[in-house]
Amino acid sequence: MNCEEFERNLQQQVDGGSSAANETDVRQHVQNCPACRDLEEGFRLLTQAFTATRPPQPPQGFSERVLDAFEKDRAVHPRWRLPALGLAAAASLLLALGWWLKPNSTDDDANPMIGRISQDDNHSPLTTHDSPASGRLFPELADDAEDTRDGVVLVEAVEPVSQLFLAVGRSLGSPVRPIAISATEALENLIRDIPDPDSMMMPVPGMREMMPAPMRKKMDEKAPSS
Amino acid sequence: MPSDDRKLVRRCLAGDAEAVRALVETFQGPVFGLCFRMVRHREDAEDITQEVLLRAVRSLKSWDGERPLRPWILAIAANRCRTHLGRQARRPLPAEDLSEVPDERRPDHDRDLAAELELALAALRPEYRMVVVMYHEQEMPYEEISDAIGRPVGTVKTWLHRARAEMARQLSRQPGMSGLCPQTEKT
Repeated sequence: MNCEEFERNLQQQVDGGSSAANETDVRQHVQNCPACRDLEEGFRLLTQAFTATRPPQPPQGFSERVLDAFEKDRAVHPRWRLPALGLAAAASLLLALGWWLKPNSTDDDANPMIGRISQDDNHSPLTTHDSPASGRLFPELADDAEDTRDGVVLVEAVEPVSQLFLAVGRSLGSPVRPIAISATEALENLIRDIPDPDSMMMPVPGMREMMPAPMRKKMDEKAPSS
Repeated sequence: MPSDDRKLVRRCLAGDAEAVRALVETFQGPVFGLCFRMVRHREDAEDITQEVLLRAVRSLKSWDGERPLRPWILAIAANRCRTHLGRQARRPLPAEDLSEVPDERRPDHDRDLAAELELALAALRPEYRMVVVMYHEQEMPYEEISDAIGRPVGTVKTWLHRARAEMARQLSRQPGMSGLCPQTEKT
């Protein structure tokens, strides 16, 4: 038996297993190896120490302290808080995007979104004081970054946070906005071309002659005299 | 045991205050025992234990009901202890905090053995100490220790064997220790 086998045998015994080695071999090795004799003694003391030593225990009333802390924690962090914050964040984002994407006929039609947020134009609608979105989206930034010139907040002052929104606006707005404008114009044209209800009474030539006499008389009374 | 754990956790998640109390009372001992052995400071161990139990109750939804609850909670404790030891390594520890208050109810030789055991544990690397405490004081099987510390069972065994050999060598070197052991006196 060598020292490694001797130690493995000791470990097995501490684990509660029976010694796999021949007892005579073990005794013979211990007699000839002082280091293993010390190790055997150490293992014996270790086993005794673990048996004699109680694991450390928390103080009396510790569970009450934990439960009190749990109640306080629950009062500060109720379960609904996280989902509600998530919903509020999502709603703010949608609101910002909706406001940003709404059609505006005063913009440059050739490149409306880019024209609106151009760095050349510091008067971005996102950052003007009369813009309701500026107050809603970046109140703390608007307060800190206020510029007295014409009631306008410079784009540079809110850039670190607003850049994300501007980038999203660019990517989403560029394809959507022209379509929105076209749809609005098409709707306006459609409404404009609808004939006046009064003039609809005479759209077909010869219709008047086909009407019964009392009805024809009544129509003549209603029609403006030209 | 896992089915009992599942019932307890289900009740906790349903907001049953008695179930939360039962969970805290069941696990405060093992968690504190591990934390105290790891950080070796009673007040710090109490604070960490409280934090661990709060985190565990708050995170019960993420517990895998197919596995036992104890290694899951002790894994949280192990992580908190590691974080604490990492911070502690950057500041010196007051000398009076290094040992447990002696238990007056124990006989003298047991108290000496407990003190020697504590010194031997303190000399170990933290990961070895954790495995020794879980195996010998918490009486956890290798598989649960493996779950709790996120290491393979083979690694757990290796660390445990090395730790025990180191502790045994240290105990056998202590002057007068062999005189405390009645068995040693017989041989």
